[in-house]
Amino acid sequence: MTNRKYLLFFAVILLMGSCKRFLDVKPKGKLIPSSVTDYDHLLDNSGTVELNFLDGNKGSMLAHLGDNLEMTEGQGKVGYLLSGHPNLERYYAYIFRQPYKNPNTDDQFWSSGSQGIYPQISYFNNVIEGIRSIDQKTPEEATIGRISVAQALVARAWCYFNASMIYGPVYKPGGDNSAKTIPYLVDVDVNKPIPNLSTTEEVAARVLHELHEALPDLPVRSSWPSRANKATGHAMLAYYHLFTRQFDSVAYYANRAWTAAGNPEAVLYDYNKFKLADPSRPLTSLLVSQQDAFTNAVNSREILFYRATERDAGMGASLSYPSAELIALHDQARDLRFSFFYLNSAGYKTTMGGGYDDGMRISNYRFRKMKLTDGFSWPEILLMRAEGYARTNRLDLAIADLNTLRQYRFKTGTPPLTAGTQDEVIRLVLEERRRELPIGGFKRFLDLKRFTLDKGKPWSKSRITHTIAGQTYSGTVDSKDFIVPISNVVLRFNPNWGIPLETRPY
Amino acid sequence: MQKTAYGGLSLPVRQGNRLPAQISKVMRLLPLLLITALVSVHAAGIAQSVTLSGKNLPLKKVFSEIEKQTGYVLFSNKELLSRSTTVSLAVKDLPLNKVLDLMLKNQELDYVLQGKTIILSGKPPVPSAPATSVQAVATLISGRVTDTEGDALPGVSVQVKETQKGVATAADGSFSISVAEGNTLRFSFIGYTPREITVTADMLKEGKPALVVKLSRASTKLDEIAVTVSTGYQTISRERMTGSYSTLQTKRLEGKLQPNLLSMLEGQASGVAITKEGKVEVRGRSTFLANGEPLVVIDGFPAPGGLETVNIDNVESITVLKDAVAASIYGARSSNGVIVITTKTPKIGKLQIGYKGSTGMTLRPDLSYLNKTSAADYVDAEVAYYNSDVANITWDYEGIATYGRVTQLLVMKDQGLLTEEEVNAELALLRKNNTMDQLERNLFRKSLTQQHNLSISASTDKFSTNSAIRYIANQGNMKGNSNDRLIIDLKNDWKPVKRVSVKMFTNINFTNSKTPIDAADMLDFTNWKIMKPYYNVVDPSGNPLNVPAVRPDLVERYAAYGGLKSMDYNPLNDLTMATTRNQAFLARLGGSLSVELLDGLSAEVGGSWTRGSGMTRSLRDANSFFVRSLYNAASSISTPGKHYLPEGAILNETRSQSEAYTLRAQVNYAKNFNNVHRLSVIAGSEVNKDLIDNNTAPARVGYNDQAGTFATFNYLDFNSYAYQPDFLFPEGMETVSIGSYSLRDNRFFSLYSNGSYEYNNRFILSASARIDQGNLFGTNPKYRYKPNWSVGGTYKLGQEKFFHVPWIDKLDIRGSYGINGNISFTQGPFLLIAPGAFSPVTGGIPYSISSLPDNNLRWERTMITNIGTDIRLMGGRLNLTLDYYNKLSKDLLAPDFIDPTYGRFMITRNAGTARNTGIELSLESDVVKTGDFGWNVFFNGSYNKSKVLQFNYDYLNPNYLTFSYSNTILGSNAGAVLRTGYPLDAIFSYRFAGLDNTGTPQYYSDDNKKIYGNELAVKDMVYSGTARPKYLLSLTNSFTYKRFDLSFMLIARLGAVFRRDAFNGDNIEHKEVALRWRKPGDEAHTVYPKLAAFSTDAWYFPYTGMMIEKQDFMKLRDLTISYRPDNKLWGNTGLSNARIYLQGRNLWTLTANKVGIDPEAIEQGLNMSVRRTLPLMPEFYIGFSVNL
Repeated sequence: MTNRKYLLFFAVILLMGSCKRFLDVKPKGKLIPSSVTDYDHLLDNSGTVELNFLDGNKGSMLAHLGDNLEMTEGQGKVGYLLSGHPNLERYYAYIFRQPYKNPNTDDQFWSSGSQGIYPQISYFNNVIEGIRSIDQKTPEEATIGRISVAQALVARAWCYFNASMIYGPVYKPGGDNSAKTIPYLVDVDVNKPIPNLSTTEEVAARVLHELHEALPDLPVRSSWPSRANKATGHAMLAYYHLFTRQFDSVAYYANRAWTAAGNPEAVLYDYNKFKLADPSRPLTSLLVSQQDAFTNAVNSREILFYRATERDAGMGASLSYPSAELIALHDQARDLRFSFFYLNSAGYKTTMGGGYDDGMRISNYRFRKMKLTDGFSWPEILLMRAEGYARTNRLDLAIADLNTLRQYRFKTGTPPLTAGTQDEVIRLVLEERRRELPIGGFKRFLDLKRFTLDKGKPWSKSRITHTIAGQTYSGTVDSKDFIVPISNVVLRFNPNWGIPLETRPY
Repeated sequence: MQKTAYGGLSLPVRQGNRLPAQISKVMRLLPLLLITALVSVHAAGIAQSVTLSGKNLPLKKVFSEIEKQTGYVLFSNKELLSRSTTVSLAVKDLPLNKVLDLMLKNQELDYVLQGKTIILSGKPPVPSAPATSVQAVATLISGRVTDTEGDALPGVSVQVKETQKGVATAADGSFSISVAEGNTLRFSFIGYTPREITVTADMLKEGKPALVVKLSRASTKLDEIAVTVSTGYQTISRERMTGSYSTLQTKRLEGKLQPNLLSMLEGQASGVAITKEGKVEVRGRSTFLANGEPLVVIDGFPAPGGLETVNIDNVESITVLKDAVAASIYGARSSNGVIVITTKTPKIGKLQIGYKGSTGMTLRPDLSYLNKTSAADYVDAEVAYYNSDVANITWDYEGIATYGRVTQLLVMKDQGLLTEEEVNAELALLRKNNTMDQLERNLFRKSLTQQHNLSISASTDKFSTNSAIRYIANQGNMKGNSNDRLIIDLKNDWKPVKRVSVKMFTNINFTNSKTPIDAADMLDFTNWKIMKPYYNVVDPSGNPLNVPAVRPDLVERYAAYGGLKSMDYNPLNDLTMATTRNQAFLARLGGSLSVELLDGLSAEVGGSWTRGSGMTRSLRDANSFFVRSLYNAASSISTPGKHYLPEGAILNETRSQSEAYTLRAQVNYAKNFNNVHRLSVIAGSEVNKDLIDNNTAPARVGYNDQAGTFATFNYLDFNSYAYQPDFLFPEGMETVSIGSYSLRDNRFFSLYSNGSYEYNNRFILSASARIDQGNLFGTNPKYRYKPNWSVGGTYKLGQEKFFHVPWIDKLDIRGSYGINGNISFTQGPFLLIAPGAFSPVTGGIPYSISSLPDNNLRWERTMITNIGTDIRLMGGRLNLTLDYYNKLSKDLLAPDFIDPTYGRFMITRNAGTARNTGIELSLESDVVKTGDFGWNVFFNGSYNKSKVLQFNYDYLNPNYLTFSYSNTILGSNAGAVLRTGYPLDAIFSYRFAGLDNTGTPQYYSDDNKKIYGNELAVKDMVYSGTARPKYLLSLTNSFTYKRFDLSFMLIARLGAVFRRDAFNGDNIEHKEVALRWRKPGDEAHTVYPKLAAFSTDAWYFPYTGMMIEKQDFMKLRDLTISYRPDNKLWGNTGLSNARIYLQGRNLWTLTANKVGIDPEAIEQGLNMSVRRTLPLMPEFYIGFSVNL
């Protein structure tokens, strides 16, 4: 009897003793990041490259504030109003009716579900902080870790720099940059308070600091254009200085980036070598290039740093057309960008709301055939260098860069450009820039804002005017009209920012 | 058979008539004796002579010795044995009857031997003083006493009340006794309801046939004695439970045919709901985001396989543990209640073989219920749809291989390929078709099911075994749809040496199922799907036809390329070419060893181990439309004849493995002190591990199912769209799966104890506690060792000496309080990241943050207060259980609304609180019980009221209150949401303000202004009710007449609302599209908005208050008639207890809504609009059971 009791006692003790080890097993099937590579995987999250400054259906009201797009009555009255379009903010932006966005719901540019820059920033912060907090790293790990951190820093700087000028005024070198724009959040702990708003000046200073911090660790080549490499770092600095207007720095960094490309053919598609895969269907047909098969992929040779841009801007069925001004900017006979992308097709047509038919209109089908980026394309690097050269009065170099690009864009045999006055060259560069960069997204929006500092120049506009159904609407570029206000949802959490809630009805 | 020594100790002792201690000891064993006795035991080859000696032996002991030596068993009742005194005997090899004579010589007892049964009866009392008053003429009356089935009952005491004279019936049930007219004859027999008959003059007439008296079984009382409740950890007598539970009675389970375990549970236990999604809920929903289903425990151990793995014909009992006392012993998994199932244990006796089988059929579904648009209306609507947004649809058209024929015609007309007349002519033809009707006839069928169960059991005192094999085959109501399951159960009990018992059980499940992959697409006429209600799918003789779903220009393009597959699409034939087959195997093995260490102290170690493996294969044949389309689309333009997709079938296969085990060591102590204090304690520890390892292989392309060969393939380039520009039809590009992997290893260690103390058979106190430790949760020491615990008490008021209510047999009052837990595995103290599928955007596997670290997370706690009473009235005629509960669920994992600047709009914290309160009533009554006829009523009713007390998510967007974005994030469910201050699963609606003159719906804002959908805000919404029924009612009536049994169950769910389906502006497949607004002025007589291919009306309009309907319904869930043929029918074949069943299910429905919707056949999926599912059709079953 006693034996039995001991036996039982022993069994219980044994069970309890082994319990500690039994429970110490890390839960399987759940990945708790503990190594550099684990954190590095977060940089492959597609949301961190695709969901910036775009609305729910991946358009952007920013482009609708600008001068690249045009809207017809039918598109506005039926497509947006009568249909109760979910991204009505694009229409409101087009007619400069504020508030553009519903102030009482999540702002999709800021943070709404996984959309917006702050969800991305939380990923970058986790990568940076996570990797830095790993104590014991082998030398190899330390190297990979430094690369990942540098890539996250560039990605974060890209978000903050653009956000600061979307949620605030454009940076004014030597001027007043004390406007409070966005909180510069670098912490991962959701129990810590959100920092106060940073000024345009502070954001600019911090972005510059972090770009320089990242630069030495950026790899010469990155695995995919979604991640920054050394050239991206230089491109980002060149871009940064477009706004600080230190154009020699623009030229310097753009040159360093461009040099990494090797020869132009490695990073540019020759449009003269494009063929429509199915010439009988010019609208939907994809392009076939002798150079490679990636024209419509993120790893397209023209993309240095991929960040998604607006897809359907300027496509009639999707409720906008390229503006007459933009169309007029093209050499329709010789610019292959025009012949491949600007196609005459049936415009918006509906029986609703009394019936509208835009008839045949030119729509932009570039999104269908080419992968575009709001990050950096190689042509943009070249154009930034050209702008740097032009603005620092190195006109021949600027024209040479333009001609390099035009060789790949215009029909073979098109005469090259020649240098004129500095302003003429700058204008040529900026026109090429407008034709080359996506017509949607925020690139043109920010350009319009920075050009306000070139007051009096032909490329500088202080007001933008839109016409719809005979009525005109206009907005001032360097004003609240071109600033996205912070949503009430966020303001309610941060009364200390001192920004009054938007009370106008949506 | 019973784990504790006090298994059946529960006879109500009548007030003022308390029995001496010895007798109550005998009584304690009575239930055992009775059970043993009720099973007619034939132990062959045992001598009929007895050798026995001893002094002052209790009769019971003598009888048990006799039973051992002769195999004869005693059949008696407590009253009789209570009259016995001890005997002293010394016999050697004496025949049984001699021994019995000797034993009973000085007792007031007599006996009859029938077969191998000794039936004890009272000796006819010695006649008292001669009757005085009127000397009626005494006549001899003779008769026969039988049971309700006509089998003779020997040993029945027949007594003339007036004269006190009595006799016992003979072996053939016959008796004769002298009576006078007006006398009352009283027939009484153990286990049967006594009967009294007044002698009439007519009865005494010469030549009258012998009197036949039928006695019916007093079943209720017998059940009462035998019933114990298994909590999985221990078996307690019903009388000693202080908690709230419901036990399903075996006799009710046997009385019906059961299609599955869920339908078996329905209506049998108050507070237990079977939701229309087929989930079990006990006492409402007590969690927001974590698992809400009760824990299933089979034969003492949690069973990961779930309820389907149970052989319903091999179930001994099902107990649902509902409150803290009952369930807290399961600790962190008990918040949602526990369902404890015990499988059958063999009865002592010879080998028994039983068979039960049934076959059934469900009527072909009536597709008209789905409210789909007719061909004519659909054609018109598709035209209007096209015209509402020509440019977009034309653009869309270019990108899709298949398009509705109507749109094809319109596009071709616009392109100048067809004339208006040609188009109109074809439209007119399409209008005449009736696809729904053709599908109903050619795709659907009656679904058939058959079930067979064979059980074998045998038992001796050292060894007993029970095995059962069940096979279920179902043929679905859609062609190509079937599933079958084989369940094998084996249970062995050994008693190798004294004080030691060993148990082992095995449960093995094989399942197979087959479903067409595209089944759901057949009835889906949404405009982006292939099928339309205007295609002819069969010719007049029923042969499947091709339908013109593919764009003609694409067909031409492929034809021009040459050498490609046909683009013919034949829906009915194609359906069979893409099938998902699922095979699974699950084995659960378990066992326990228990040793009785000291008097009352026993120890037990045991465990169960479950291993499962499964394989799901989705095979798309090389000739299926899907594969042909992709093959053609992926043909190279630059290199004609090159195909980026290899020729052959596409196979997706998942192989999964699971393993789980529970090991337990437990000590039981039970002791009775002076029959006044009774103590019972258990304590133990448990380890638990739960693993899965599932691998989904990359899709095999170019697969040949005959040879098992496949082609090599560059997944990365293909899925990165690298080849797409060279595709003949780039829009036809589909990525192929690269597979996935999932793993799990959850571990727990737990310590638990519970105990109860009973004083003087009147007061019971119980308490329990349990600590669980898991490998994911709880790094913060503050929360680490928080136990789940409970206390409870019962006061048996009916046992008090002062309690004198003659018609109340029992009155117990129970109360309990305790804390149960619930867990979620999705969060923890660590940052968790999770991989997705390859992304061509980042050129890698995208990882996402699935959960932020939080070391303040803890298990959800539910505090349950329960007050209840158990009452038995009128001699057991009416049994009533009434419970009130208050479940306060705290620390529920819930979204906590945070500044979206953190990168997320919410994080999951223990930030939720909810309350469920309710009343449950269970009532059973034998309303009528006579010889031939019985009527039993069984009612279960429950009322549940719930309220969300804390839910920190502040809804910003009204759509979040109607769409059910994600049930794992906001806890919303089929369009019903959680919001502070409202019941759980609350439904919110907009206030409709009519259409404007453009056919656009308007709504009222909170300040009663007319506004449009875009302007709606959360404050404009109104609460419309809850999706959770407040009242669950079930009523079962069972009638017995001679050999016929009839029972039917009505169920009702009341107090909830649901949202009905409607035309919402773009779902042109909905019948109401015909009622839509078409031109200004229509708004005066229709509520249905304009038709627009692109409009957000559909986001708001279907969620107006107009669409809310009462969910209340009542259904005749089942109706069963069974017939038990006379055992004589089988002669000496050995067959017995045969029963033939006829059952109908869902025969009749009464609903409270005006639109004719069965609330059980409507659903709103995640991010989907409301739609009707196939209606529940009447089902018919015929079944047969027999024992050998």
